[in-house]
Amino acid sequence: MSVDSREEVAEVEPLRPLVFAILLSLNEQHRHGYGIMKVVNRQLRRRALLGPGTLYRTLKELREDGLIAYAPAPTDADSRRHYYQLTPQGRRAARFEAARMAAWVDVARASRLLEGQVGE
Amino acid sequence: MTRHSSAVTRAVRRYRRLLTLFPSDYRETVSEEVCQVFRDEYSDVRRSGGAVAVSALWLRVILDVAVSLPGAWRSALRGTKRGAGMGSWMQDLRVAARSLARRPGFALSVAITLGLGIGATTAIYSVVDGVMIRPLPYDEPSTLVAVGALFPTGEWRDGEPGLQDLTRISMPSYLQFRERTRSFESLAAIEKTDVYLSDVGDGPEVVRAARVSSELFEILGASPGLGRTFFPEEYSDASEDVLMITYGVWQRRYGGDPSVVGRSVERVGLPTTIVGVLPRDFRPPEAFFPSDEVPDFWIPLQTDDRRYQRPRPVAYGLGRLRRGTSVEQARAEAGRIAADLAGEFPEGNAFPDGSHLGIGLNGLHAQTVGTTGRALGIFLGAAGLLLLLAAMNAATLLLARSLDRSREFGVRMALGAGRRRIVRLLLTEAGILSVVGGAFGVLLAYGGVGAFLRYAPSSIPRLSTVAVDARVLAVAAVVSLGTGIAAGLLSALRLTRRGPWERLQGAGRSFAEPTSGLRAVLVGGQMAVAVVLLSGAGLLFGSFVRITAVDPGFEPKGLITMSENIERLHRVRVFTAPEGGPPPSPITALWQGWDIVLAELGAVPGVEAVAGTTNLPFQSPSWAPRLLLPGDTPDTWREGIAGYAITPGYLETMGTELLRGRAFERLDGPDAELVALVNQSFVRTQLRGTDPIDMVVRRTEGDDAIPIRIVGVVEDVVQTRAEEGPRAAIYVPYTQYGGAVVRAVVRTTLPADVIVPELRRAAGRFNPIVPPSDLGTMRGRMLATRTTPRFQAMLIGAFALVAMLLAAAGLYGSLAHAVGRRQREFGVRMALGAHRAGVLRMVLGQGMRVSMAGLALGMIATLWFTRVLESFLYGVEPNDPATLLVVGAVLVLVSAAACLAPAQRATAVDPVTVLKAE
Repeated sequence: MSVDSREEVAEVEPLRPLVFAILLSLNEQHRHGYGIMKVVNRQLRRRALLGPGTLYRTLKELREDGLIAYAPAPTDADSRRHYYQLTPQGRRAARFEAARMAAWVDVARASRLLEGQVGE
Repeated sequence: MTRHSSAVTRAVRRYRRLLTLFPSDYRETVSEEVCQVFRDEYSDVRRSGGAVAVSALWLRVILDVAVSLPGAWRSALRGTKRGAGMGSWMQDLRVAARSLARRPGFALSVAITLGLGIGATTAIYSVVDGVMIRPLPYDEPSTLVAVGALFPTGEWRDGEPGLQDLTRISMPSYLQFRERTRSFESLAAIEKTDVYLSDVGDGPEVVRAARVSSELFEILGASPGLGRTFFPEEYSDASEDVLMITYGVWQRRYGGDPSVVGRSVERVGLPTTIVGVLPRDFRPPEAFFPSDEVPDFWIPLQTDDRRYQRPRPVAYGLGRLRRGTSVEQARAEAGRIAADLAGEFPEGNAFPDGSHLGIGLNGLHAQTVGTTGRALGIFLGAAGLLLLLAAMNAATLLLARSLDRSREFGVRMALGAGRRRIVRLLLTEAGILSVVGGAFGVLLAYGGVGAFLRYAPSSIPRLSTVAVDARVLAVAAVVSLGTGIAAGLLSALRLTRRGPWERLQGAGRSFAEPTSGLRAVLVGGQMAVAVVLLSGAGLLFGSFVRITAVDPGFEPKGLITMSENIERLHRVRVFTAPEGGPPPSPITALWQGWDIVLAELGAVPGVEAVAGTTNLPFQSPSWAPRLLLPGDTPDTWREGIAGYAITPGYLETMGTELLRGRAFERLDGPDAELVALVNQSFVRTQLRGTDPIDMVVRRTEGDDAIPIRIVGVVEDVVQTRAEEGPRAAIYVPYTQYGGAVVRAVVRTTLPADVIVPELRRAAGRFNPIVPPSDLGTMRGRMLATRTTPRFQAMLIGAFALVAMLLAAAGLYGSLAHAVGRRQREFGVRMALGAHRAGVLRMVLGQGMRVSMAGLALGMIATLWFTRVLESFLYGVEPNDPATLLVVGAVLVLVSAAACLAPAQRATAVDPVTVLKAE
């Protein structure tokens, strides 16, 4: 899906960084809760997850929204752990968000905000 | 087990204890996983960090629990699976407001539509609240009752079960009843009267007054604002004359001067002392004193007054029931006492046919409100229907708008907004719209209540208590939010049924709309409601037109009327001109008084004819003679014959046609044979069409039966009001009847505003003290009797008009929107060879099908709904086919007009442009 309308970008609220980070963490591989938390906290640093409570509330919401789903656990895994994976919707949502960000970067470039710093 | 793993286990156990703070369902679903993550993290941190890192971890975990606790509880308490996770409602509000601001036209139409419904409902509700619901402004109002006499025929007023048809009771009966009853804590008598004052500036003045017995002020809980109430001895004829004045009159007439207490006022013939001023918040019961007849002067009712010795209906009772006594119990007791009284004191209580005058009572609230509730119920019902229509209209608009936003919602859902979230967003938008609409509606309600109070007939009681206040506003708020949310929910739930991706991919392109069924129901429903309201309005208008078209039985144009009380005239004349010989016999004195009045009026330039009668048309007849027709036994009781005493020129002056026989002449004097005229209805209902000329009937008076010869037949003249239909009447010469009040009718070609002052001046010549009453045009009198049906027709008519416009707008908007979305389809159709006429027919047909279905449904509902109007209609059946036909035709035309523009737009589609856009 391409983002071809600036209005549409403006129309939709951006994903929260935490949500985006969780979706990104699951892009390459299935992870269990603690795995997600470690990756996300590494990426977000100052806006990191506080702890398991916040993480699971977010995971539950994302699951109910159909953006992530339980994944089959690896054979050697601890049975108490749930593994998560992206759904096609989740993948598209993340891509849309990335595109949205990219669109804004384009806007910024066009306004010569980034001149002399990135790629030019 | 290693030291490390046992430390981890201990920590997890502590963490688990922390988790007990969460709601149980939350713990059940996620706590294993949460503990697992905590175990992993704790284990890592303990291994790599040390005591500081572990402490930091605990700190973070506690903070984490604290942060996620409220959300978890919120969602548990709401019983929903979601908390406020993806954004607070404040955020929703912002997003919704932004989204609405982008389409101000849409937002405005929804708000105005809702506002119309809310405004109508709120305005009518505030009237209902003020009139029906609010308690009377007295202590323990539910124990207050009105007491009166009850005629043996027809116990219930206007067929309203539970509401006795009370009339005034005679003083002897009242006093006996008061003596014998055990149901009352206290009981007071009230008599309405007039007094003549000549103590202030502009000459003598008639003012409204009330005579009340000693218990009244106590029952109403009124203590004087200034001075005192009456002493017990002042309720006796032997005492000095005293009176109390209301706060209003104290301010207006006496400038709020406190020294007014003790001042003597010149009451014609009776010097009277003002002893007190009633408090400002004193409200005499509206059951006895309608708001435009509030007495300003209060006089002690002197039960031993000679006037009260005769069994004449004079007063009403106001009582407070004993605690625990119900109105029904008191009624049963009153019935027993009335039966006893009829046995002991037959005069004025027992009737020849064996029946007797009863004594009845109503709760004071019921007596005040009377049968107004029926009319108000219909107004409220109509307003409610308008609200329903407005809600459906708003739902249609919201639905159309959300269809246009499918793509936006698809994107939102793709980005993690669940269905619930979208629904919440839509509801927030609907909520905002309903708040704006509600505010608009409240403004409308203020204006509406003002207009209602201005145009409402004075027969609606308690209008002074009607106001848009906090209670009404609370109702308005609930109604607005309820309506808005219902409209929003309908569209939101329907819309979000599909998954996000179908929405994103197919949005705006599909041939068949998923919501078209719902929209058809909404549009058809509006049409149905409009049918009901229009039919109701049509029936009321038809009824009003028929009332107006009733032949009154005389020529009202150029007629002026006026009343003069001859008894008073004599009293005044005696008072002002004390020299005079011995008085003539009472009956002669009365008709001589008539002659004086009519001669004086006849001398006014511009008066072409003048005549007198005891009662005018469009006025309740005050005389119901007891007649015995040939063949009747002495105990025959012929109901509902109105008696009129008239002067010889009356029929001619009025323009009432004499159909047979002769009119009265000067020769029909007191000593000549007693004669009478009867009207057509008399011949029809009392004589079954027999020729009445020269028939001798008897009028009973006490034990006498006076023979009267019928000499002529006149056409029917309206008695109290046109809608009651023709009624039997008998006319006698004024010289053969003692009429204490003469109603003069003057025929003139001069405009009323020229002649009326002249007539008033002429009246001043024969009665310089008391100005004439009811001086005005006959047309005005006739109009006054039509205020109620006109008001009802206008109010329901206004609702119906708004309903029709909204329904038409709903049909138009919905069809136009659907056409707009189907441009591509029409393009394809026409590219494939469809004719424009065919496309036009198709779109028109689709719109009209929905509209006609609504019409049919509305007609069925109308047949059921309009039955409640039955008692308000004259000459029209509730399911009058002509009215329904006209309503149907109007709505078909309006629907066709509403469908035409969108249909034409559909045919204007250029296939090439549309297909290129693919």
